[in-house]
Order: sequence, then structure tokens, then C-alpha cells
Amino acid sequence: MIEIDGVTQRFGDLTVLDLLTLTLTERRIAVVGANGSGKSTFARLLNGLIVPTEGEVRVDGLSTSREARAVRRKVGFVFQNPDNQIVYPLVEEDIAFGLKNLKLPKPEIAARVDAVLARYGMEELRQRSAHLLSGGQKQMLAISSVLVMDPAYVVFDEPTTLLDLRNKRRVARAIAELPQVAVVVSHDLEFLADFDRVLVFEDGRVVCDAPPAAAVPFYRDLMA
Amino acid sequence: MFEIRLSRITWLHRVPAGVKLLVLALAGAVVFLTDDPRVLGGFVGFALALPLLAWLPFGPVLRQIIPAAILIAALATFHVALGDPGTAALVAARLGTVILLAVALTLTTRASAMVEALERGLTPLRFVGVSPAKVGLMLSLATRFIPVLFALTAEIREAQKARGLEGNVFAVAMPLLVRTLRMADDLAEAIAARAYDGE
Repeated sequence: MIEIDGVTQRFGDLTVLDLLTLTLTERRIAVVGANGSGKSTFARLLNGLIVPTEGEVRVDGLSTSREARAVRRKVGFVFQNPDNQIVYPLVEEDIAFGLKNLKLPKPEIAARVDAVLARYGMEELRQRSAHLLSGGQKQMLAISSVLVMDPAYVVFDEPTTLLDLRNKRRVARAIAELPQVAVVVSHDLEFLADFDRVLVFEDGRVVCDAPPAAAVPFYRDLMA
Repeated sequence: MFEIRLSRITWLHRVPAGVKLLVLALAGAVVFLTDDPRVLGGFVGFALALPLLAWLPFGPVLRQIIPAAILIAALATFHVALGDPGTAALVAARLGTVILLAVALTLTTRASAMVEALERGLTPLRFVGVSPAKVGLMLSLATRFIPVLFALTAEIREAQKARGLEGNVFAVAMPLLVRTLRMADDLAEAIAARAYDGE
């Protein structure tokens, strides 16, 4: 369970999130909103990349302010642009990076890398240079590199924005099949139909919190 | 680019990266410290023989060597022109040896293996505050992001060309700087998000 308790986020004089209180218990939660509405800041709060100016975020009881390292092990984060999050030159090395940070033994790292490459059909790419991959392959690598760490929660910050339709569907399918809790910031409303809950952000506040059948039309009207 | 290791495996591929790096470092130190033509001749012979003994294909070896060979030839010519053929031979022997050995290393060793070997080699420096893991990560990031920055530069140059600013260095440098800094911020977040603690 993720608890957002009276959270306000300011950057200088700018209030990006305004006194937010939410409890996230569903398996599939979408976050939508216009650019600058605070949704990416909200996503970064969930795994302690940003700590709130006021209030507290707790993941399974762990405070992101006081126990950020433990929280980051629980909450994986996939960024919008895979080019900015792939750390190592080769595919298999990048997937292993997070596992090395978790100080896992080498045989377990190798087994987990093999398993995630097989799961996403990327075995033949394991020795490929990351910069030679297509956009869709890079995003799948970024997702694999996070999922291999086996987090309990995964936050996706606009994971399909830079992709073509085929790769958007591939990423959407991968997210749908995840056993983990997923919080997805997205502009692709057509992929949100199966979500349990949609949060609509506007000027740093949640202006609609409902299942997709109600939240998506609300958001369309808001953006009209 | 930056992963130029040959895919056809030779016996030199199987030699541990740490051993190859050590040989390169020692050979480099010796050839730059000695003036003895017999010692230098021995190292030149070793450097010339190594690609042959390892059955490295000529094409990739030549592609790596030619730019350095042009530089060495220019330096040697300069010394000959000054009437000092001895120094010309010395410079050519020293640089040639190191470059040939470095080419043999990079064609038969994965970049990550070199970084890991370097990390292990730096372990004793922990006691003076050096973090081998940080040095390793830094080198890996450099290897990973050089081609990304090339691609970014090409993209910005193309965009500026479309706006008629083809020859304007400032118009390319400024957006490149801004995007590189933003990329560095994103990357720092991504590394933190993957449980990196610098240990």
C-alpha cells in the first residue's frame, strides 16, 4: 500500500502539488493530466526520487523521506526516455546493473538476467550495444532492467510517449501482464481501459479519482 | 562504436582483461623509460607479433592503427627534418608499441571486462578514499554516452540546418549543452532509482 499523507511539493515559489492525500491499494493505477499538472512530480514522490516539502509518502509503512534506499528497492521506476536511463553500454550489463547494486551473488544475477531476457524475447539482443537498439527495444530494455530487480511496485512515467503504435502496444501488454502493482503516468487514454483507478491531475491537485469509465471522459472534457 | 571487440574468439580473447591491461601498462612504462635499442626492439617485435600470433584479422587491426600511424609518421618526419633520425626512431618505436598493444587489447576485450579489471585494480586505493565502483561507473557511463552525444549533436545540427543556421557553432553548442545537462540530471535520477548507493 502506498500512502500519500498531506503532501505539498514546492520548487522555490512554485507549488507543484498542493496538499495531496491519497491511499493507493489497487493493482493498476493511471495518472493523467496536462503538461505541468504535477503528475511526473507525483510519480517521483512514490519511490523517493523527490521527498515532499510537506507531508509524507509511505510505501508499505516505509517513509520515502527517512528510508529512501529501502523504498527504492521496493518501488521500481521506468522513465519516459530510455536513452537517459540505460547506464551500461551492453544490454545484459545494463540489466545486471541494479542487481549488482542489490549486492546479489553472481550466479543469481546471471540467472535473473537470463530469465528477464527470455521473458521479453530479448535473448538475441543480450550482447548488443544499447545505442544500436530501436526505440521500442530500448524501452523494453529499460523496463526489463527495472523488473529484474523484482520490485513490489513499478512506477512508469509516460513509458509510451516516444514509441510508435506497435511498440506502445508491446509496452502496454508488458505492463498489463505484470504481477506487480503498477502506477502509470500516461497520455495514452486508450490503454487505460483495464486499469482499476485513474487519477486526473490539474494544477497540482487530483480533480477526479475514479475508474476509467468515469475518469477518462472527465479528462477528455477537461482538455476540450 | 566503443565496443570494437572482435566477435570471432581467439586465444587472446580468453586472457583475463586484468592481465592484458597490466601487460599494456608495464610495456608502456618500460618503452618510455628505456633508451636501449635492444629492449625497445624486443617490445616492438612483441607488439608486431602479437596480432599475428593471435590470428587477429588484418582489416580491423589496420582500421584501428592507420590514424595513429599517420600521427607517428608526421612526428618522425618532423624529427628527421630537424636532423635527428635517432629520436624519430625512438618516438616511432615507443608510440607504435603502445598503440599496437592497445589495439590488440581493445579488439579482444569487452569494455565492461576492462572496467571490472580496473575496478579490481583500484581496490587498494579505497584506503585513500577512492571508490573503485564510482570510477567503474564513470568509465561505463562515458563508454555508453559518447555515441548518445554524437547522435544528439547530429540531431541538433540537422535541426539547425533546417533553420538555415548550418555554420553557426553557437546554435549547435547551446542546445547541446542544455540537453546534455538535462540528460545528466535524468541519468542521475535513473541511477538512484536502481538502488545505486555508490558502494
